[in-house]
Amino acid sequence: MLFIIAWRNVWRNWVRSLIVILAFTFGLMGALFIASMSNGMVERWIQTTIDNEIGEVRIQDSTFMATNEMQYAFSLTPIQKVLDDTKSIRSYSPFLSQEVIGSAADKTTFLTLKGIDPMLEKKVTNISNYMIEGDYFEDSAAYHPVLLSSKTAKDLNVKLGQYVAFSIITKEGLSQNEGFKVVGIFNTKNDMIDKRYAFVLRKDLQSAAGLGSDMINDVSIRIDKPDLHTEQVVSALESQLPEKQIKTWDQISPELKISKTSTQAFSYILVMIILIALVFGIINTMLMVILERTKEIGMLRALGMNKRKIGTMIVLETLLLGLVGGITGNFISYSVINYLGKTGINLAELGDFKEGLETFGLGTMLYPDLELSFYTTVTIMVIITSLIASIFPIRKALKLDPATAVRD
Amino acid sequence: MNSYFKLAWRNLWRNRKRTLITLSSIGFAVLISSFMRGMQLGTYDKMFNDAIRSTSGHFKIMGKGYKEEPSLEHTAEVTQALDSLLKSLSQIERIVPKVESMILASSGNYTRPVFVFGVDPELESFQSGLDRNIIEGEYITSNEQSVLIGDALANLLHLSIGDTLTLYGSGYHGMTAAGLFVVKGIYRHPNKEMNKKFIYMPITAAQYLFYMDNRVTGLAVILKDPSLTEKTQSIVESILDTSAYEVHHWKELNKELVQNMEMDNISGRLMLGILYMVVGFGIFGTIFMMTMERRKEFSVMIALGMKRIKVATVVVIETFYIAIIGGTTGLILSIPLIAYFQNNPIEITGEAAEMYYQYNMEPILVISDSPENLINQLMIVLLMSMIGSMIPLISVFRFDIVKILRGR
Repeated sequence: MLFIIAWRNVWRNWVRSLIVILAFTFGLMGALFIASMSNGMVERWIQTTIDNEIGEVRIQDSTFMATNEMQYAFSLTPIQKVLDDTKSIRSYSPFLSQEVIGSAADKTTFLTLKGIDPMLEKKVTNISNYMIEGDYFEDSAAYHPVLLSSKTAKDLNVKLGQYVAFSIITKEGLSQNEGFKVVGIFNTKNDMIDKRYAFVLRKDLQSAAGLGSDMINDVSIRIDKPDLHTEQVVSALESQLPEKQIKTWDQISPELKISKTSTQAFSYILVMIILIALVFGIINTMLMVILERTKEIGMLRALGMNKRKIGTMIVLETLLLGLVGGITGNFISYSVINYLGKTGINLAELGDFKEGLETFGLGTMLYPDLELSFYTTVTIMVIITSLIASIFPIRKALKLDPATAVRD
Repeated sequence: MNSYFKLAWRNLWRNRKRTLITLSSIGFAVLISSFMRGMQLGTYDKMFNDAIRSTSGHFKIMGKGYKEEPSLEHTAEVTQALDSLLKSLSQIERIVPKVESMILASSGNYTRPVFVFGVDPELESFQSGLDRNIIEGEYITSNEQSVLIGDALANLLHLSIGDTLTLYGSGYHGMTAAGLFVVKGIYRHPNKEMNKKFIYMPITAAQYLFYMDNRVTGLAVILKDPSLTEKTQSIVESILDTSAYEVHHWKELNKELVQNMEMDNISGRLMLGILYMVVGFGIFGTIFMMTMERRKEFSVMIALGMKRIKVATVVVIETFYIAIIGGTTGLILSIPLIAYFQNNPIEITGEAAEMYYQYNMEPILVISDSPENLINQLMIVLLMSMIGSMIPLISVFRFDIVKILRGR
């Protein structure tokens, strides 16, 4: 009964109600849209970093990680057996890496040299898809081949077919310059990868460092349906390789996870600011409503409707205003975000952002994305906001003295 | 004309409650939008100031070609003439010379590639607060053959205070740079990569190590008044020998940062737009209700012979009064609010704070106190209110007084 009265009250002055409802709808649409953009950006950053650089799970050695000394490289054979027997592992790439100074003529640059098995690495990272010159270790007879990013090649001023020297540190801890021939140039459009890595064959790095062909210091693992299987793979590996450290992508690169949580926090803050602004709008509208209906409320009271019912009626009215707007806003946002999530937004059309995006390894295409839980949380926030907004008008309405209100 | 103003003013206070509601919705709009924009602008300012202070200066003088190809061959010679030129410019607060290059650091059987920074110890402590990060030993002073290393590097190379570190690599004109340095202090920076890779020494020691005489890789110029950046830069550019030097604005040197901030600014403006929309709806809503309520009053006035145009003028003046009073009140209220957050910036805690430290930033959100921002927000809200006043204006010209006077 009260619900029906409240519903009819909302539509009695439909223009006024529509203004509040539209404010809710558009306010939420905007907030959800911005949240979906920043979330989409972070998600994409995480995914490209996993795809192109770190993989979902890594196997490392604590002594090596602490000392970075080549003598603590470890043997691949026992690990390989475990990896082959573990379910849900899509692919893995064992590698040997070290930080070196790369130099050519008078140019020098810092690099992480990754000694890989090209066929295995191909199934783990996407570097082979980003070749812009030369090829991805096609010529098996080539002597000491190396892949450089186009940025590194430019920094060192070298071209395809020219040599680069790397200061490779051996098992004994000595540094030794080794020449490598540039056979391929890649460009992932991600500075964090392009400015950091150079790829050589694992066997070349192993022999330059004085290590046997079985010795590695890291394994990068890709998982089938990572959302479902990561935990299970990690615990299986942990139980079978107790002396190794099994790390997930967020432990290798904690900043990825932190960015995600802080982006989420900022999105909620944004929704909150918008809701606070909306509260003000609702309070004002409802106060006007009460002012306008002084006589009517007085009449209802005089006819015997008790204070609680009047209060409930006002709460319902406010709640309806908020919910109609909130649900419409959520629904429209959901469809728009899903649509844009498929087609993508080209940020290059908005301005000159290429370099800035590339520092984070993002292309210019942005795919908005928002988890369902965000919509539910926002709807709950809308309900709470409407309830808070109704407090003030209720107090006002209940303070009315029926006798004077009717006569007025 | 005078009587219109008087009439409008009296009208305002005839229905005090209604006026106060409208006033508050306009005041609140100014308050919340200036707060939100202030937060955004404050964040950008802080990012830029940090970058200017810690690395690029307002502009930087480099050797010709250094920006394209950062090698020791493209370093800048600090001649007597350059020195006296810069000293003669009164707008310059200080000049920070730096030498940076890569080199191999070794001790006993351990070798690591590192970045050497030759700095003026006093200026460096002033700029980056490096001296506060010392955890063992002492900070360096000018004119000594000693270095500061990170705690991680100390571990990797098995070094402690007082030990000798060997540095060798290539110097200016391809000469072999080699030298022995005493470890004077060990620092720990929140950025772990830095602790592993960066070593600091007095600039004279670095120049000696690399055979650079009085050459530097960059002279960062910090001005007293940032607004004079372009002007001072062009003065310096016009006097310098452009075949030997190049000068770059901080925006060129921090291109990625500037782009990322611009991108953020788009979403910031979008957020602000949404906020305006929400508060705009609030303002329109209250003005609209006010008009609807007063239709009878207007009709009586028109029936009594007041011309519609005159009624309309009075109504517009009323809205104008409300907008000015409400807007100014909002502005005045936002001053203490902004002052509060300036003195007590919002602190970021937990994991996100770590990330700020890693990028050498304080984990705080700063609000901008730019009066321009406040005025802009006031103007925008006033504009919205004046657009809002079109509602009663149109309504005054359109309603049918007979219908209204006859009863609702």
